[in-house]
Amino acid sequence: VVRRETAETVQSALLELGEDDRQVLVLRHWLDRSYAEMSEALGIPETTVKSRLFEARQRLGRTLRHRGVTES
Amino acid sequence: VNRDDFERLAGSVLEGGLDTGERERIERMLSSEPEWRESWEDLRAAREALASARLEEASAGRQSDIMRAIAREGRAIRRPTWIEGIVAAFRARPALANGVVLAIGVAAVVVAIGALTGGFDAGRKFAPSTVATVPVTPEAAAPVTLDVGGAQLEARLIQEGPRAYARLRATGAEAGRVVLEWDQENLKLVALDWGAGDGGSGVEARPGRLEVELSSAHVCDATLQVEGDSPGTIRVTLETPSGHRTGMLSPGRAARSSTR
Repeated sequence: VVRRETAETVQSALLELGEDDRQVLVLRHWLDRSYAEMSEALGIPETTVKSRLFEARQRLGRTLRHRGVTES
Repeated sequence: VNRDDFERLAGSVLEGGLDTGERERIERMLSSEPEWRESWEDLRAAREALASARLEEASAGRQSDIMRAIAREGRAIRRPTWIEGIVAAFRARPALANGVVLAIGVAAVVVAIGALTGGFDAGRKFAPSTVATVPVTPEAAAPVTLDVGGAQLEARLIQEGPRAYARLRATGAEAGRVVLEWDQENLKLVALDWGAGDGGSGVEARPGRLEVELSSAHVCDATLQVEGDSPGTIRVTLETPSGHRTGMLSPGRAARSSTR
């Protein structure tokens, strides 16, 4: 139950992110895409993929920490 | 240490690809710079939360929200399908379209000359040495049609290089639940796209499996990444309160056929 509640909180936070952030996070963490695949799918260089992923993780993490969801 | 360094090192730590020297370097950085420490905690929280909260563990309603959001953004995520690519190429380069029309015209003239000079076999002798390629229409992929009560589904699988597209079209009067099942070693779901209506209702996704509710005249395209040489087959089931039917989808290649 706790796990599902966490999942719901994470997904709720994910939906509040901008499209760019959500795309890279879903592609990387849930669809297990490589940097090269993400680069191809999004039409941006791998360096931009990494940079966008860094910023997206940071924004999501900040939101989750404010909501009291921390790493196990 | 600048932001780029931190970004690179932190990314490596989170992806698990950091050597000992780099790990010591980032630990020194985190202990001396509160700003980096704060940022690091954000990154770690996001990574751990994402790892522990997989999409398939969400409720069906939340999955629908996520998949709808991704579908809305599908244009950016999804590569153009082969037919969209061709249309776009024609749009950008009208000469290409003219070239195809010309090639078809030349082929028709060659066949006509052949027919006039001794029938089809003779006509083949006159065929140009180059191969004229024409795109196969989506209909070339053999469809699977399932019928349960008033619900009907037409499904086909098209492969284009490393992508496979499962197109689902509801043709009956009643809604039905469509279940796709595949070998997750062969295929991974990349995106969903709804051709019409407010698609995305009742979506449930997990590795190797996708379930969607399709109402009448609804079209849904599931884009899958082909991991090996072939996507293999996809088991498709149409479920309704009246019962269910199952079929197997095999890829019809969107690659171009050759005519001589």
